[in-house]
Order: sequence, then C-alpha cells, then structure tokens
Amino acid sequence: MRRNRAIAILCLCGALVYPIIFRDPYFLHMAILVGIYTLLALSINLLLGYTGQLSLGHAAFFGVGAYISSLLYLHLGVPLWGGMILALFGSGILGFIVAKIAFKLRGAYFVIMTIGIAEVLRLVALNWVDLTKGPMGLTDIGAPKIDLGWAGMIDFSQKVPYYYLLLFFVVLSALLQYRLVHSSYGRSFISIRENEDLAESIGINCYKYLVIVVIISSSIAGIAGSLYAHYVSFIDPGVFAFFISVNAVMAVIGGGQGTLAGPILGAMLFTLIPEWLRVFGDARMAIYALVVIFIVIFMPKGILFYTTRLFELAAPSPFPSPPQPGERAGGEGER
Amino acid sequence: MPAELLKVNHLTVRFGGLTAVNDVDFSIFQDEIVSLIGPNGAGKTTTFHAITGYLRKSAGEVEFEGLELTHMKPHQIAEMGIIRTFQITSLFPNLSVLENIRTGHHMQERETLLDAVFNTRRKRSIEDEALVRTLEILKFIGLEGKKEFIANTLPYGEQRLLEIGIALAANPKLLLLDEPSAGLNDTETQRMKELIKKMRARSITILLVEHDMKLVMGISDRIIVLNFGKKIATGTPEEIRSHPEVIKAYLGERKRDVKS
Repeated sequence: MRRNRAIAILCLCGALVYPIIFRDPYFLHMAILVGIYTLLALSINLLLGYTGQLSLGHAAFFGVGAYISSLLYLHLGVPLWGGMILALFGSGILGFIVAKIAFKLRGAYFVIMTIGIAEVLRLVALNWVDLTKGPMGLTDIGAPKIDLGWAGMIDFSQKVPYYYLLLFFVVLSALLQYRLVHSSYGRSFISIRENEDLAESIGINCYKYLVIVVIISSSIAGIAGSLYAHYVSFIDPGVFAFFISVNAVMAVIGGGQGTLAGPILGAMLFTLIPEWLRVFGDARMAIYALVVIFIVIFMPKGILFYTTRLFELAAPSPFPSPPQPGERAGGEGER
Repeated sequence: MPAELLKVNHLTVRFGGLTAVNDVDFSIFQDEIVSLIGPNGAGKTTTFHAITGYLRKSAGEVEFEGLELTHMKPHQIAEMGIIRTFQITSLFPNLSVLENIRTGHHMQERETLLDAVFNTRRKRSIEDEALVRTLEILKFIGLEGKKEFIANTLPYGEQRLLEIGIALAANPKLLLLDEPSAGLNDTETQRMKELIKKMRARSITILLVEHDMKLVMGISDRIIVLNFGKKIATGTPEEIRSHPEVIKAYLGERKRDVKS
C-alpha cells in the first residue's frame, strides 16, 4: 500500500517535469494524446475492470462530449470550461439513458447494444449536416486563454499548458476512481463482476449500481472528448469511430483491467507503440496487430501484472499478493 | 406460540407445461429450524428461488413479517431480512475471505456517493465498524486464520462455511440454506451442524433444504416434505420418519397384490 503510493507519487513527479525535459513539440503532442486516451481508458476501466461489463461503444460518449463542447464554442462562444461541464452532463445523461435500457441485457447483448449506439450517433453526426457539417467536420475549435494580470497569460492553445490541463484531469479521474473503488460502491461494482446472483442475494441492487457506473464512466469519456476537440481544434464524425472504443478497451485489457495503474500504462503503450512502429513504414499496422495479439496471448492479465511480478521476483514481498482481476475462477462461482 | 415469520400461500411455479411447485402452503415461526426435504426434482430449490425472488411465481403469495413480498426483486427481499445461500457454491471467487464477508455487509453501509469521493469521516467510521463485524463473523464461522486467502483457493468445506459467513454478514432474520452439507465429509458436516445450531442461538430462523437425513433429523424442529411439487407431509422428525406418504415417496410403493 505504502509502496504503491510512493510509486504513484514518483510517477506524478515524473509527469510534472516531463515538459521541462522533453521540449520537443512532438513529444508533448504524444504526451497529450496519451493523456486523452488515459482518460478514456480510465472511464472504460471503471465499467469493464470492476463491474465486468464490456462496452465497445464508449466512442459514443467521447464523441458526444466532443460535439457538445465544440458546437457550444462555435455557436455560442462558450469556452472550454463551460463546454467541458456541459459535455460532462450531456454524456452523463446519455450514459444514464443507455444504461437504463442496455442493462436489461447482459453479456453479448449488452456489447452489441453499445456498438449500435455509437454507430447510430456516428450516422447522425454524418447526416445532420445543418448542425455538424457532416463529413466536413467542425473546424477552428479554439482553446481558452486565462489572463493572470501581471503574472502573464496562460494560453491553452500552447502545448505545455494543455499538457498540464490534461495531467490535472487524469490525476483527478484516477483519484476519483481510487476513492470509488475503495468504498461500498466499489465493493458493489466488484461483487457484480464476481457473482451477480450472490450480490443480489445480499441486497445489492445490481441494476442500480450498473447504471451509476455507466453515468460516471460516460461523464469521464465526455470530458475526454471535450478536451480532445479543443486540442486538435477539428472534429468530424470519426470521433464516434469503432476503433476509438476498441483501442481504449485494448488499453484497459492490455494494461491490466480492474487496477488503477493498468489502464494508464496501457493507454501509454497503445498510443506509443504505433508511433515507434513507424520505422516499418507500410507494414506498421500489421506489426502493431501482431504486437497486440502477442500481448493478449502471453499477458492475459495485462502488462501491469507481469511487470509487478518481475519486481516481486527481484524483491519478494512478505505479504500474499492481492487478488488479480481477470483471473476468473474455474467452475466454482459459475453456474 | 412464537411469531409467524414467513408465510407461503398456494405457491405455484410453472415452467411451460411443467408444474415444478404446485399449490404449496407452509409457515415458519421465529427461531425455528425447518427443513424442506423431498426426492430429487421435488421442487425444493424452486421453492427457494420463488421465495427469494429469483423466479417468477405463477400463483400464490409470500408474506414475511406480515408484509407481502410476492413481486419484490431479490435484493429487495434481502433487504427485508431474508438471505439465501445457493446449492452450488457461490462466492466472490477472486476476492479474499475477508473481502467476501466485507461485501456481505453491503446493506449496513449507507455511504453516499459524496462520502465515497471525499473519503469523509462518516465513511471511515462506517468502514471501521464493518471491519470489526467482519472479524467477528470470521471468528464465528471459524475462518479467522484464513482471512487473507483468496476464496477460490480454499478447500471446498471452507468455501461452504464462507458462503454462510457472507450470508451472516447481511444480517438475516430468516436464513435459507440450500444444501449446505452437499459434498461435505462427516467431520465437515458435523461442523456445519454446529454452525447452524449456533446461528439459531443468535435468533436467526433457518429454513434448510437438505439431503443428508442424519443432519435433517438431528437439527430440525419441523420438516416439510415435498414430492413432485406438492406438499405431502409436515411435522416433527419423529412424525415424518413414520409417515406413510413420506416412506412411499422415498422408498417407492410396496407392490400390492394384483387382485386386490
């Protein structure tokens, strides 16, 4: 516990000095993209990692957040801050409606439903040309400036301030997730993942907790979308694309679902690996796919698990290791 | 006469054309241990499922402490104070023994979302209380030495004890145990029997589905016998042992003379 906290603080310090060490705009750009993906991964982790429900349509919430805050900015001049709050509410309400309907179903049905919702929203964005400009997309989505008087001006269209803005939100959602998981809410979420019938039998209203999880998760995804839109300053219906959902789910599973550090690590690797593979030219995506397959086959519990085990082998911990999520019991709990 | 706790009226459950439970009535009184027995397929587990809301009742009512719970969902019925266990071992397999029981405390933890997010003093005091109770229950079921173990690594007998621990954490007034001794050896069954008696001493009323006749006859105050979904007998262990219908259900009918 104490060691984990020390590692977390060390990582945070590393993240804080990162822009000072790496001044190259490319490195900053990658770091910001990692931040956006981390938010999305954390959002999916809350649902997949703790309640065990797979959503392949989180791009729906990401995209709605992006469109809400972009449209508000372009039409009403609402700056990022206001846009973000409304994106949070917009995605949260959408999440509420989706969850209310979707959790009448479980398993494959739920997965299909989430894919369907993202796809419907993509088509709406594509065809409601009056509002969204369709495939042309929305352009010139600006980032705000904060005037600090004599201390100067923070211009969020610059990469360094935006990097810190993202870092702030990543830390905030990681903290939120940590607190939630270590409360009766978290225990209810995990009990649903572990054994839903048993959870009901001890008075846990699984449906209610699943709806709560989706509301929180989709709100975070909405914020990620809003931050994305104001960073790249251009969005098109591609923000609803299937691969955005899939990539984030991959980051969660590859990194280590049901842990806090796993999705963050996963988001980093799955954003950076495609970049590192640029040396392979056209074969890049094919090799990327092989890497993903390799990770899934040989590291089914996520990279985090195997990395920590490596360290534990070097310095064995006196305590028994905590339960590893993703490690399903064979037979016992299944009915 | 002690107070009537559970009242089942004309309970009927049909699956398509099959009537699994057919017009069954019974009552359970405060502090009793009642067993529900019958040959395989008699409808015992179905009755459990119907009482606890896991199955829709085709007809009939269930009342608990005078309140109608026919249309309630499983978690609402649990909130009334009826907690059940499952026939097939049912745990939170990847959590530790301690966390399993900790989760069972859910209904006593009234944390708000804000308590959780801001880690308030109120939340921490709720957590501390729950931890104390968790350790008490661990001691009660005799697993205090195993609290850090992951549930699915426990030997089978201890998994069954842990199941009861989870149910106890939910603070039951009426505990429905579905074959708690299934698959246990003699020593473990003995341990289970002692545990059931200890729970009754804590004024938890118990309804038991069980195949182990030694256990049933040894601890039950009353026995209800089902066969093909119908209640065929009810009474004390002695009455049941000599009841002709029950003997017939379990051993089959003696061949009569064809002519008579």
